[in-house]
Amino acid sequence: MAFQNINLIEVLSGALAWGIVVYLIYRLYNKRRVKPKGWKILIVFWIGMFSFSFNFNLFGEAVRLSILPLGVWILYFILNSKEGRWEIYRRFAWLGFGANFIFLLFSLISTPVHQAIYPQNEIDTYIAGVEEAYFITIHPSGQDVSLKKDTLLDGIERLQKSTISSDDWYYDLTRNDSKEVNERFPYQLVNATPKWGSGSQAIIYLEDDGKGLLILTPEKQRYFRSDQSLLEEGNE
Amino acid sequence: MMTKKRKLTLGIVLIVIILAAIYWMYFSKPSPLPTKNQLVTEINEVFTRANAEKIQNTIQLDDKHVFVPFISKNNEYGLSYWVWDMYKWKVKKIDTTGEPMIWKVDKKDPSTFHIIWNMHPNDRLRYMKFYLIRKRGYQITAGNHHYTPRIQLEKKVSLEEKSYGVLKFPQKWAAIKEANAKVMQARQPDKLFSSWMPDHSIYIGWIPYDESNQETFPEQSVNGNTFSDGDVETDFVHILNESELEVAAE
Repeated sequence: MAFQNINLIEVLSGALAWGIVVYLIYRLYNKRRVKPKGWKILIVFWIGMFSFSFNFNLFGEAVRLSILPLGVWILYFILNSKEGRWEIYRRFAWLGFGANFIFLLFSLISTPVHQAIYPQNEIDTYIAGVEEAYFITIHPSGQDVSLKKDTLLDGIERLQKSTISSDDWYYDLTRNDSKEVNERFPYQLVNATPKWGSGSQAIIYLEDDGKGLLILTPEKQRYFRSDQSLLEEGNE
Repeated sequence: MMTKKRKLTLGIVLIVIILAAIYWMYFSKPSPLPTKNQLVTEINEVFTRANAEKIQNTIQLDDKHVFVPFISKNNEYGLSYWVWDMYKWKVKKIDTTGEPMIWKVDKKDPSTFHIIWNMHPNDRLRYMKFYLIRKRGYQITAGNHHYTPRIQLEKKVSLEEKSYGVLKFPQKWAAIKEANAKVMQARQPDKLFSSWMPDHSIYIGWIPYDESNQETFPEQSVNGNTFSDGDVETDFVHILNESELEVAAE
């Protein structure tokens, strides 16, 4: 269960970044004539990673940019008290600070890679399996519907990306100021599994005629329409 | 003088005792709930104003959480929340009146949420309806459309036999809340800056009905006093009017 919703790209890019960092530490260690103890290097490296950072939003993605090398300064003050000691560890401390940028770089690269492998405009990124999925009727205007696996998976293939007219939809339903309203999306699909490795989180609503899906991800909403209902067998 | 060996033995014995004590505190099986008399005593000890007199029942939500409805000397119908806290049963919250409350046994898992109540008989309620509600909405930011469908699910509960009761969140309600929370949590900008946040866009509402099936307001079941040790997650249930609800159009 735990691996079913793993974000493969995020995990791989993280592993790759760590691989590079470990390799750099190793190379630096081999180059030193005076070889400090391994665990001391790791602690220095770890403290070196502390930084004052600036968080901001770049194209909808949270970016953490390190600015001030706090850890390096702390280490300098501690280690400099004994002559020659700072010299031994200096490069490892700075490598710790530099590692922040390696991680940042890899997280920036991983986003377009993720989008190339799991296109956000394709429905099967969000619904790949429906083994344990079912529909919940979320509004009194919805009927009791049951999920037919093959019909749904078949229908999904025929879905086309369509435009959301949120304001029109909203005012169509509320214009009359009446209690009698048929919700446009009275069903929610739960427990559908996204494409393996995508790590996608999505809320999926089904349209009242059974022919449209509204997909809500953490970043955006997407709307897909078909000429055929996802609930019943097609007539053709 | 102790020898080194004796010191070592003593050290090991001490460590074993400490570990056993920690194990006992954290993992021991809950003992049976205290007797009803003891429950009354303890309620009045931690919260004098509760003035409890009679325990109506003890209702297990799970093996570490028990809901205890009680009646006070001044004829109030109250709620008490009991939790197995490491090594003993403790009363974590007391409400002197019994309007419905949500007890979030595990605040991150909506399937553990329970609605509990103890309605005053003078309010003469026949039944109540609980609702899972989210308002319809739309939003357009920088050309990106966002439409939020209305959620309105209903659950009817009878009050004819007992003044008190428990409604565990129906599986559908929990599934909807959970799917929503996951997506909210994954929102990129929030990811770095905030830790876990409760989601208030989907809330619980209720409407009480009297003996002639009319909406009513339960005067004697509301506006009570509350004691809480701050260690229990609860939420209010919003009182609704029928006029705020939707029905299917013809």
